[in-house]
Amino acid sequence: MTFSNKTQHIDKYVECLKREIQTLKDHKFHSVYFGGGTPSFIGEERIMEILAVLDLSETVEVSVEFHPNHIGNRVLKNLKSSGVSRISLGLQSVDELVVASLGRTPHTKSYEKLSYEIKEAEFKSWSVDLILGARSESDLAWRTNLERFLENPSPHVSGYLLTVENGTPLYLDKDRYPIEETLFKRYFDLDSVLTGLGYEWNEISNWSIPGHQCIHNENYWSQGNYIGVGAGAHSHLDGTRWSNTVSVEKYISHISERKSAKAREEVLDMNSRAFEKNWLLLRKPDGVPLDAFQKADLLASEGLIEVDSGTAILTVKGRVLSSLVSQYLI
Amino acid sequence: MQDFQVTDNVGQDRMRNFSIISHVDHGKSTLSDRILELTGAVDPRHMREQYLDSMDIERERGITIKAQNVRVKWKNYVLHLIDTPGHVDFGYEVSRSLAACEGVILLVDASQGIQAQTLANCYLAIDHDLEIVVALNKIDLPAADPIRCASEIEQVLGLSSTQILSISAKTGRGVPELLDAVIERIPAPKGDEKAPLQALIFDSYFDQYRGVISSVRVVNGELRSGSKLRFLQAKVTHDLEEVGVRTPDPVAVKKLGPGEVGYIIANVRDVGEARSGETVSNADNPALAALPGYRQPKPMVYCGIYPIDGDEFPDLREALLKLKLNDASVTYEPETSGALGFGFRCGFLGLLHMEIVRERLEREFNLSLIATSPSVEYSVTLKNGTVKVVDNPNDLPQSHEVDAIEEPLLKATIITPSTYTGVIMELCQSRRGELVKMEYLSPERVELIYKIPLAEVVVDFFDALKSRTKGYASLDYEPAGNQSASLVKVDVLINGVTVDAFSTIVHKAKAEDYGRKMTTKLKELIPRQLFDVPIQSAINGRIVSRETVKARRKDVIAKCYGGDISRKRKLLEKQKEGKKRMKSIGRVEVPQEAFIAALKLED
Ligand SMILES: Nc1nc2c(ncn2[C@@H]2O[C@H](COP(=O)(O)OP(=O)(O)OP(=O)(O)O)[C@@H](O)[C@H]2O)c(=O)[nH]1
Ligand SMILES: [Mg+2]
Repeated sequence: MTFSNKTQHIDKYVECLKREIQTLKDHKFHSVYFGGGTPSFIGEERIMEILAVLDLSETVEVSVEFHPNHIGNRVLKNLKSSGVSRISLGLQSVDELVVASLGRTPHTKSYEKLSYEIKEAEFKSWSVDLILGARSESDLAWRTNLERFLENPSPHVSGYLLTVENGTPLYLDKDRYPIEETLFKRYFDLDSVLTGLGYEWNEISNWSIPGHQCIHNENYWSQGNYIGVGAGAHSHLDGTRWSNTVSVEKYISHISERKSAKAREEVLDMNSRAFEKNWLLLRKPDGVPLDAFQKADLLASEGLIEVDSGTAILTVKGRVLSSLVSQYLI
Repeated sequence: MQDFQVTDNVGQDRMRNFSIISHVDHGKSTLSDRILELTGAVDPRHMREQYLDSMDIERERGITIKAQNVRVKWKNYVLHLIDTPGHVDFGYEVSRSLAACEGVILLVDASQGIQAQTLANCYLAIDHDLEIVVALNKIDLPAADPIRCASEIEQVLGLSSTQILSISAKTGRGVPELLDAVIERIPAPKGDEKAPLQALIFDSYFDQYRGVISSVRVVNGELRSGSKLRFLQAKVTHDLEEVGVRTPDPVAVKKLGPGEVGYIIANVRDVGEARSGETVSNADNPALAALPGYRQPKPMVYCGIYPIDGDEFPDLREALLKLKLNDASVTYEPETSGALGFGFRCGFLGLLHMEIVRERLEREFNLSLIATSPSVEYSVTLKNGTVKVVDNPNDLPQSHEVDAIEEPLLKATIITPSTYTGVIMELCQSRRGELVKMEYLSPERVELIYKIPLAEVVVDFFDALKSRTKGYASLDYEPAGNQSASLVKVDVLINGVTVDAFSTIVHKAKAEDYGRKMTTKLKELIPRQLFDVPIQSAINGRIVSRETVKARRKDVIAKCYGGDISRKRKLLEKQKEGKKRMKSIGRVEVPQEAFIAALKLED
């Protein structure tokens, strides 16, 4: 499940979320995910309220994404007791300076303390988001920070290449834009270090110790069905993809009037669906049948894919350039 | 007196055939709109601006490309008007239309006065011995200065200012009086009804369902539905399936008599048989002589046109054949390129014409094409004395074999407010132009005549002229022989290999600069690939500039957050679509626009 991160109308909003969930009564969920900034904003008590209206009888994973500043012993305990099995920590970096240079709220706790608390709470699994390629992070600082992280590593790691998006503070400052070469290097580094420690790559930006994959995300990559609840949430059922209105106000008014909050819907045709399937598959170690590619030779000779008995799998270089490689999919 | 149908044959005395001609944008199509309204030809509910500009490209660009004819009823008369294009590249369209008329309305924008194509088109009408009715248009504009314009016309064209009408094609003011003047001054056609049929095809196009549809002007005799027609030049016979008139919707009639303009459908499938300029007669009693017809205009610029997908070559051939029917001024010959495969070397009347033809080919025939940089036609004298005509830079012989190269010249007429004389002279000088004559049309306006190499004009001269004179200067040109010049071929190497499609012939003094600009521009236009791509330019094998398109190192978009998969998939699909419009040159993917990079070099 996904939430948008508007702070207003929390009460009403949560009411509506619950109501929207009620409409899904017939569904049994294999996994549940509270994502984005919303969980941190609404707080663990509201999350527990929401979990209480869900039928979790067949659910194997309940993840909650949290900002470091909202993690604490009490919060973690409460979440654990209400069925949360996995914490995803939006850390970005163990280094305060790097966090500050990205224009994010400074952390109030050290990573050492955060990881200690999470481990103490004994969730089934947990994960840390790292950002790769900040301009303020020198090669040396990166190595030091990575080592610091690896002293208390999470069993699942997401490593995202820093992208500059319109509307973020970073966007306005060209001097802080990431340098491609660095992005490339950081990704290689992270991949080789994690692989050396027994992590496997699950998807372009995700690595885990076997058994710690994020089941919820795996479902996205395998073109599975899911239903998103809340403003701006995305859903997919058998080739139909839709999303809710992104406006919290509209969301609340639609749901209060017992109407659907759906704003957009797309029914994929066969071609789009096939392309989507291959494109998503390509992001994973399973790879894509070689004949789904145009110019596979070129991609192989450029070191972007590795071919193994009729299946093309992205190389590390190919992963960094996956969108480009995807364009060669038929 | 008015109880007749527009389709009725009212006899030649009550017919008037005329074209509307002017400089580009002076309001011909808008005047046609008012005439269609005033005469009730188009239901007001279906009226839209520039009604006769029916092609998508015309509506998008706001210019007329094809002449259109329509038959209307005004008072006791049947009028046949042809709305013509004004742009310099389409002068051939105008001259063909004039052959179907006894007179013209010459429109002059009263806020601008005489412009270059005002003169050029007016001279065409004089050459055809046509009666000229002059109307100052846009008098509703505050900037309109009809008195100054009238005196300019009197001085330059020698037409009496008392005869000049003032109208607003926008508001309709003065249009009825203009139509009255047409009836009064333009002579009625004087064909011989009893003579064997002679009808001139002045335009044709290919209709998917009905085959060739041709516009005709009957000069003598009668064109009867159901008769057998003899096409005198093509020497073929066809049954006349349908004869009709455009009102503007096509309406079938029983026959067309002398002086009438209409269309014929004669089951012609071979598009070569109904070319513009063909004379149609009756098979059982053919006329002895064909009408004068048209001179095939000589192309000004040439370029290679290639399908991006080599398998579409036969489709391209078919498309060119059909397009040529509707636009006889295009020439084409098969050619091959090392980089682009099989294609055609095509000739055009100018750069706009080239752009339009390429766009029409892509749209009307659903093709994806690459056009190479335009070139003019050079005459190369070899050391052994033989002369070779070169319209493709790659056919230029090795420099050690060449004795002399001649390039085509233009006589360019520029009309401008006198304040811009200085900047125009500078521009022309930088384009190797030579001032022939300078004349004041009025104290504020000057006509400059230059001899200037065609190659310097085709690329971006017009844009440069417009931007330097805030759009106030106008340009017309005509061929003016050849001159020998010191020219070299500049090659472009992509990833170390010369790509023939980029080679261009340039004046020696400008060659290095051109090479540098080309590599810079191509660096901009060629997207980053999986590996570094060097781009170089070379003159006679010597590298003069080099740039590198750096390899891509990462994706712009990486994560799919919260199950939002659609957005990223759409982005990818868009990128994939873009890739389809690229040509692989060796391992490098080159987008369509790159092949005409030469047109986009800034000074
Ligand atoms: N104010 C004003 N604008 C006019 C008048 N006549 C035409 N225009 C405008 O001038 C522009 C060009 O008009 P067109 O009728 O397309 O000109 P044209 O001569 O057919 O142009 P080409 O076919 O491209 O040579 C349009 O924006 C018209 O709206 C007029 O009498 N008054
Ligand atoms: Mg027009």
